[in-house]
Amino acid sequence: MLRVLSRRFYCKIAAKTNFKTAKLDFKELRYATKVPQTPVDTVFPETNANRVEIDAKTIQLLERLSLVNLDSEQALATLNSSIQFADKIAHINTENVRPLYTVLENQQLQLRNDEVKEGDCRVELLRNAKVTDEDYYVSPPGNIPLEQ
Amino acid sequence: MNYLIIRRLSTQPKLAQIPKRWKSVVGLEVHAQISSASKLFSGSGTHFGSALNTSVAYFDASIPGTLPVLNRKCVESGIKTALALGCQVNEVSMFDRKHYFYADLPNGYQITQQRAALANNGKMTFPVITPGKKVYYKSVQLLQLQLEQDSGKSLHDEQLKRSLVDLNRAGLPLMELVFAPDLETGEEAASLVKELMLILRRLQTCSCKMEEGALRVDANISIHQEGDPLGVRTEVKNIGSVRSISQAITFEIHRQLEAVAQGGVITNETRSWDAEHRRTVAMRDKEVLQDYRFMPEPNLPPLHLNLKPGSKSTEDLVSVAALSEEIPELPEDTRQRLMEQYQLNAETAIILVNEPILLDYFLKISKDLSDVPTKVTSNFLINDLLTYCNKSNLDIEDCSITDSDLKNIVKGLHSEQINLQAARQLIQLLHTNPTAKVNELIKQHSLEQICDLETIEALCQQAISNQPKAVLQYHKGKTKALFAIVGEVAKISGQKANMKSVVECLEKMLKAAKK
Repeated sequence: MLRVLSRRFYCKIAAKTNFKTAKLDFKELRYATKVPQTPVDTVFPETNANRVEIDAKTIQLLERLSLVNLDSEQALATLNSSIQFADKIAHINTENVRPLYTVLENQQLQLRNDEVKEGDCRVELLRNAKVTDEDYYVSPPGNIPLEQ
Repeated sequence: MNYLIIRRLSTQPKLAQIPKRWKSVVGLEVHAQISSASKLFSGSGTHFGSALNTSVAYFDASIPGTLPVLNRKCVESGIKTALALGCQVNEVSMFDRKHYFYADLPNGYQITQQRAALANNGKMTFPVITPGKKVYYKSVQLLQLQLEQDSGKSLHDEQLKRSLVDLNRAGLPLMELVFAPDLETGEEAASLVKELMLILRRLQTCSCKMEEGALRVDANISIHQEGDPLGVRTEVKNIGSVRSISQAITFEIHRQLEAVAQGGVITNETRSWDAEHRRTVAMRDKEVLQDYRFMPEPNLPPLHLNLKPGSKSTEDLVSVAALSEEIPELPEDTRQRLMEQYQLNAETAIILVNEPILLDYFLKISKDLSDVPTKVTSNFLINDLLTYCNKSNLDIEDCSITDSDLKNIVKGLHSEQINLQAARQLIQLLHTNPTAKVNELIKQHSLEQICDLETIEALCQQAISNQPKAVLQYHKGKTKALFAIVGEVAKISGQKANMKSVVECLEKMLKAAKK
């Protein structure tokens, strides 16, 4: 009984206080911001002129390094447009600007105690592999020294 | 053809000299496995020889949904090693991904530190020991020290054309030490690695057991003529022991010199050291230049360290100053101390520091027997104990002689109770019966030295009569003939006579006889 009474009282008191002053007015900013308020027009140089010709050898190398299939025309077209798009970054003026590698750059990397807490899950791990042989994973042959 | 025959017969190529104007340049990359209980980014164990694929966590097997968490002990070990090698530890270091495809790298990339490593610009100064040449000191710059992951192990099955992969080693913490190409020969490289092993063992950051894969050395070798820029380099991998380092590098330098002498060209390739046939062999997949596509590791923010002097380590912020106090005496400092405090020469100091057990014996014996000159102790330990162990193919650690036994032998030697031959016999006897006491053995096998003047005179007389030719030669002026007579005394006395008094006595007698 007492609790219900006090709650009703609280609600009435709360309704009476004016929260309107604390309400955010989104049309007006309270603090300075680095985000421009109107879109900034960045002029990038004419990209069609900078079309990069990629020769067959480079394509082969790229396929080997990334294991991405670049056989079809479509793939090559996509590759070219990706390069053009990424190329725009090279034309931005970064004088006196330190590179940002991660937004967490001021955060300390969390360290872990040196204790053995994981492991011993061979059965589950090997279940993922298509081919295994007596607790080994099996894979195609790798880098073997040439016999002279 | 002759060259091939020579190669098979000798351990080192007959071409001992590098032709004038040609210089060889060697740079080493050492991967040292950090001694820690768990891996670098996951909580699985690091014990050597565990059952196949059991020390593998989900993160090591690259199961999606796993993230790396850095091991504090590895960071501390890296910092301690960096400080011991005189490096500048960086306050902020970052992790990168090095991409390449191989069956034992489940992620398809290795987490390493390429751009901003843990430490840079160190220096190592070490003695170079070349058999037959004087010892000299060499300084090599350490370019970079970084933390990185190890990859798994693959066994190649040639018959069935497949590789078998074991991921126990995947994710193990490694310190990569990149040295500047300041070295010139295989012996210098081997000495560098020996010194590095001594330092790492003292710091206890790495076990340095090359046979377990805890320390791996790759060598980059090139040759050029004086005045020319550096030549094309080849990388030699699969070097399994300290001796192999020297052999592999020497072989590769000569292979390159031969190739150039015959008009060939050195290509930038990776070669493997074949210890069985003592040669380097080209490896298959390395004809094309490998581009690792380095990229910042998105799952790991930068690693911050506390460089403020006098600070203490907290849970997430390791203090470099606090760790620098934990560094023990380094090998070079011990050598200097041995030379200054114990008046030993450089070679003796180097041998003692190279064998920590001998060093331990030396320090204990010198402390307890302060009247015995240090030279006697060091000579005995090196010339007699170490030689005995080498001859019997024993590791000095397996030798069961206690330091109190050694102390008694040295005491006996110094007080002239026994001579060197008896001391050597005692070593052998003590090793076979470890519980026996030195004094008892001396009595049992009657190893006491004969110091009694009368007995010595009698022995000398006998020797003189046994060796008339040598006596004549001595009288003619050949003083070296004396040693033939001395040898005779040793023989008839059963190696027990006191050699110093024998020599004195013989000289006296022979001079008297001459008159």
